[in-house]
Amino acid sequence: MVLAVAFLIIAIIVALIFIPKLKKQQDRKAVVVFTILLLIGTALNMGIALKVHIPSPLDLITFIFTPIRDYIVSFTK
Amino acid sequence: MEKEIISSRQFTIVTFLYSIGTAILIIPSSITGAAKQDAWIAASIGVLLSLLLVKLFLTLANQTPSLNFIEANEKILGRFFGKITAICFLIMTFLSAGELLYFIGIFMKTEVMPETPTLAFALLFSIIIMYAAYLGIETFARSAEILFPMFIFIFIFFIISISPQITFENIQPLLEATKTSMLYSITRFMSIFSFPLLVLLMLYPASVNVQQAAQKGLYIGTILGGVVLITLIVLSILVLGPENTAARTFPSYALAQRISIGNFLQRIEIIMAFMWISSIYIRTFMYFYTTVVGLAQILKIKDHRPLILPMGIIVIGLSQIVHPDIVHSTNYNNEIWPIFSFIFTILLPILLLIVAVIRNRKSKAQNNETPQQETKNDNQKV
Repeated sequence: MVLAVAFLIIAIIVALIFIPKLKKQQDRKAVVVFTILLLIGTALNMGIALKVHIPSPLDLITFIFTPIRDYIVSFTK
Repeated sequence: MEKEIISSRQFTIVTFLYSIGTAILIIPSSITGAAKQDAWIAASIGVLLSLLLVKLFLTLANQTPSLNFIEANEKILGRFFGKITAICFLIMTFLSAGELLYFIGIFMKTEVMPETPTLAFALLFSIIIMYAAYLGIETFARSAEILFPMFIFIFIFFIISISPQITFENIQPLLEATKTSMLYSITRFMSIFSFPLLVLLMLYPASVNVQQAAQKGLYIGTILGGVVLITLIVLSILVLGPENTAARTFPSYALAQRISIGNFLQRIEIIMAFMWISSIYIRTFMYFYTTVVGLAQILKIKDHRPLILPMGIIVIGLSQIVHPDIVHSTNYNNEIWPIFSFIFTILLPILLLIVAVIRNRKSKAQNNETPQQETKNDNQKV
């Protein structure tokens, strides 16, 4: 719980420091990308801190490539 | 974004430390698992075959001498398809960056500080990576230059102090491995050692000062890195024995624990751990830097620096969820990663190379009537 709040506070501080700087540079795209990435990162880390079960992204890759692997393994037998 | 240039000597050192990377920690156990005491033969063949891959990467890089790999993707395959392949490539590097942070965390947790959560290590390590990415590759290359002599010194000290414990019976009988297990070991070795060398194309053509010397540097770095790994595999087999090596998660660390000179110089394994911590630092940085710079280039953002902090926060989170446990990680690295990386680091460059060659021929044929500077400008700019 404490960790999740800490992550949230860090994210807010980062946003408050960097977004005005980026806005000054007139780089709208950078502001949007920065905000989206920061939101994803904060959500992910708060989820971890609150011990929510998040599936590994590698499971998806494992799922995609398992048929290919089985095919190749069947060759070597 | 101002252009950053590193010297070819720095590039050689980065290649050397990069190719050792995580392989120094996990390779000995995964390849002795299949090829038993002949693992070192598999590793040697793997290093030789890696030189062919280096040749492929260099040929591809020389097609577009002023662009890095992500830009080359867009230039060769066109805007739409180039972006798709570049994004797939970036997903690979990004997941690997998270995985490497996981490795450093799980290594410290299982071997050094069992009661500290892995998040703490990932956090500390990623702060270094983010800071290095903020300062850019020139500073990073200089830091690699500082780490290099220390690495070599510790490595030589390691070999000398472990050599009294060698028992030659462990490596006999020679050439007992079957063809299938040999093939598996070679693929596993190459998938971690040399497939990811493609990531170095982010540095090689565009940000190296002397390209001719850097080409040689890529070969030399790969060979030296291979020699270090082969030595380590041979030592693990000779000292720990093939079964013991295969059963360990981190055989190199177990090897360092065996060092005992006159019952006096003992327990120096954490000094030896400097080797893999520094090499993993180089590798994680390259993956992370590639992801951040590549993302900025795909989205056409001028400066990649603002993206470092949010991407770093995501990588920290990623390092906590990529592998729920060590079995998951071993399975993934032995079974899935070779195929996954084969598609994006071997098939993708081959595709790019074929398309680039066809395009060059076409544009040359068109410009034969009126020999213009255009193709020259496109393809031979340094």
